[in-house]
Amino acid sequence: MLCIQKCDMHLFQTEEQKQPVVYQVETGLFFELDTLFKSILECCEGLSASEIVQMLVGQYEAEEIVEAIEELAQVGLISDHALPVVSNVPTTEGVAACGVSQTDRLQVSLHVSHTCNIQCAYCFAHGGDYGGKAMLMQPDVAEQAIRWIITEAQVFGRCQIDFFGGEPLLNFPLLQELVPFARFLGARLGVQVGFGIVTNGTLLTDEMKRFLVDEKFQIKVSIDGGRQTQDRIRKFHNGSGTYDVVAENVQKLTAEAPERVYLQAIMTAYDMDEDRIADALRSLGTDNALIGPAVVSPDAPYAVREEHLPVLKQQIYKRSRRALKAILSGEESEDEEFDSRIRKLLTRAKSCHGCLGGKQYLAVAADGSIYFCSSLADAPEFKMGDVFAGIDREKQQYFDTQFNVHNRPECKTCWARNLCGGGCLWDARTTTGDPMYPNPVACEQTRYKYELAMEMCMEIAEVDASLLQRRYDLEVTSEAEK
Amino acid sequence: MHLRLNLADVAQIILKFYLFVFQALEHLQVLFFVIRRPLARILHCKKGKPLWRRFFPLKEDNMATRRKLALINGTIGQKGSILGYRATNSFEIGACPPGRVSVPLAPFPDDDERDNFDQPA
Repeated sequence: MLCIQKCDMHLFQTEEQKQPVVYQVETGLFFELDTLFKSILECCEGLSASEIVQMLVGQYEAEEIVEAIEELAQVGLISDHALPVVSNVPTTEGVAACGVSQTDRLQVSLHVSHTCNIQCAYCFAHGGDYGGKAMLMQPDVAEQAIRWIITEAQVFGRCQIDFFGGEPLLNFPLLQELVPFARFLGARLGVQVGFGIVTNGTLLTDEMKRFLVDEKFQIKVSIDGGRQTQDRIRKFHNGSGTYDVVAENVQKLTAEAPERVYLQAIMTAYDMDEDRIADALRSLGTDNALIGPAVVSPDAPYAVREEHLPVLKQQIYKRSRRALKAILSGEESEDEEFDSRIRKLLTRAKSCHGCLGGKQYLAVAADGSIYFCSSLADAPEFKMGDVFAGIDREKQQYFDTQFNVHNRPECKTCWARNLCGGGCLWDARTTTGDPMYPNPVACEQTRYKYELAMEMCMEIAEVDASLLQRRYDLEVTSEAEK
Repeated sequence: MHLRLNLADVAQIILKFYLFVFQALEHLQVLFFVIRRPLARILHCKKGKPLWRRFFPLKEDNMATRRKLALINGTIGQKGSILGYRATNSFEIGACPPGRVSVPLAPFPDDDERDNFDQPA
């Protein structure tokens, strides 16, 4: 007797949702189900079709059960050599394949300063020096770094140089020299150059603000929320809080270029009220509020841990409802996170890595060393060459293979692997001690977000079937093309 | 008083009776033509259950739910194959997962004079 096998799938029904959903891992397709299909999928593994009928016949008519089994086989959710051969389920060809560029530029964090004027409890840069010597990037290193970045970016035709630290404004005169030089070199080599900066916002003078605004910088200011939250974690070296200085400077910036100012809050266990943090940030004059968890050892008193998951999930759910409301009314979402997850689900784009680190996103440390990303610039094992000798291609290839989601022990059996690509390596390394093993708290949140995003798609499709296509600029692949 | 029917009367009655039956059948035929589809639906559906069972459900009707296996991120083509979606615009995820260290992507306007690649080296 032939037994039925399920494909690699995730069958779920969140507490808030009426209908169950099944996500097919390999094809990326997902379906809304009724209880009959759900019952079959729950019990079918290892049983024959007739055994399934016998098991469910008290609840459903036999004819219905048989038809449902055939339907599930037709879409490839179950298989049995006796069932119809699956020929109409799309493959992942034509879908953004693993490792293929998902952005249009090379993005490099240029560490013009390995020192900082404030101290933050959770600082991954060890107070700014990344565990090494406190220093500012020297002009000759900086000039070579720009040459290297723009040469590397020629293949894309675009690059984004983000000035990073420590506190990059401690080396402001260098910025003033590098920006016109990078534009000049970019123009010569056919590379469009954009700029960004990550700053703690305490050193901004009027001259600096004018420069950043005129040069159209993407300005990311680190500020953790209201005064109490900020001053508890982010202090000057004399122990005084930084909120008042930062808030004043941010307000001056947002008065001139609110669309280019992003306020980044790091959420700790001290204050986990996302809405309150976001409100505090928005009160400074921009809607661009970004909130991410502190990436620290789970032993830290302010670490976000597993016990906080119920609170985090509750907040994620609230955000998803707000995003859904915005989508249904045709408005922009206040945070784009759910939009990007929905788009990814709809296009079935696969990720083999959690980010573009080591490939299209790199960091150049103050001494000219090239690293996988800024957050891992304290880890010698993530060094990938320097701006004088160039990038170590073998190491780049090694990272690409080593940190492929299908090579990571816990990821390769996770249903969300093709969606998240394994998450942040820095987070994994910091929380579990090994970049190969992801942070379980982050994983749980990521999976929940994708579940909610699938349910949002169902709800949108129910209200207006064409809205998904219109909002996310989607077109249907033609049958001939398939 | 006795009612006497002669042969002509009997023949007339029979004729009228037949005419009545004929007309009735004709009306019934028209009526049937009009109601045949709703009637068929009430008595028996080709797929699923008769309509009357919605209003007077049997025990098993209460246990089973509506059949549904709806594809959300795709559509069924004319030839029965499953067709996926693709984005017509480029798809950008940025360097980091949301909320991490990297800077959001900068827009690249096409009309920025500072990106004039024709300027002399």
